Amino acid sequence: MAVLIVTETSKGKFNKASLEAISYGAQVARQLSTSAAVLSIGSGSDDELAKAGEYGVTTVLKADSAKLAHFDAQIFSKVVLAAMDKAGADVLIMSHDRTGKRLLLVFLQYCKPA
Amino acid sequence: MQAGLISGAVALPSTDGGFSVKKNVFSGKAFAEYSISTAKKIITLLPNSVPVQVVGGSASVSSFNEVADGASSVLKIEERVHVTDGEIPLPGAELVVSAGRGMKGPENWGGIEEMAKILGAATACSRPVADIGWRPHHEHVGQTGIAIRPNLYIAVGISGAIQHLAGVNGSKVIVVINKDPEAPFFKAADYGVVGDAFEIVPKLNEAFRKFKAQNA
Repeated sequence: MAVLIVTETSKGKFNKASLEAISYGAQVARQLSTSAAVLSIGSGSDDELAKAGEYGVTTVLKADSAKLAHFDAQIFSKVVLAAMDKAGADVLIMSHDRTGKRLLLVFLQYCKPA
Repeated sequence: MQAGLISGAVALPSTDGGFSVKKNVFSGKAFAEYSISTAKKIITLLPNSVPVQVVGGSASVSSFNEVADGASSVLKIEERVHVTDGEIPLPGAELVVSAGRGMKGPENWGGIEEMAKILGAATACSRPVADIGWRPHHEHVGQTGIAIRPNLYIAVGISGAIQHLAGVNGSKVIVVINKDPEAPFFKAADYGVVGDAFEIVPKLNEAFRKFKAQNA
């Protein structure tokens, strides 16, 4: 029951909202006694992305394909779902920012009605 | 997937005998505790809600491009138009300088834009200002505009109607400049200046410039 945190980079670095999500996701993983992985969408050097470890994350999946340069709900959602499979994640965490809200609209179809 | 979803969480989950997360409701005027009982969970975290915690360590990085590279989409982008040409995008801005009808006209926005430039802030406005065309609609913050949560929100000449507050009350520090001491925005402000914006804004800009020069 790992935790996957979806993040974005800006100018090669994690943006502030992403760092908050990484820290939050890592703390959730500790609460659940499991591991946390980050899906990084956008460009960034390996050294820069490895800094996610400072917040308690063990793995970063780097998705910097040219097809992710602009938001495309179809492609983004496929990548996130595949990353969940790869990380064995049951918990998905995103920032409630523009990309997070747009992905939510896609993922609503996967949510269980109350 | 059959996931449970909580959007806009503001705290770490409580995992004692279940999984529940606190989030804002009623435009940030109250909290609600939402529980997820499904195995899969999706949570979005409201920016500026939970402090970042550094624990030390390093993560392994591996490429994950196979899925994106092999994916196709029905979407074809013909052209991209940036409405905020060279400016700081408002939704994720950490500093925001905003103004309202108290500026009396679009020709008086020079001081506001100057303040934003000195501070490295984004500019915003109240709804009436966007509605009458003084400022572009993408700068409109509030319940029907963009909801923002910057570290610092400076509101100049905005009375602070509840619809405006709903979009900015997640800001860490709110500074209000208004000549009306009864303006409702003062009740939500961390710092307030009662006075004429046309006198205060130039003085503040001068002070900010001096401070930046001394601390450069």
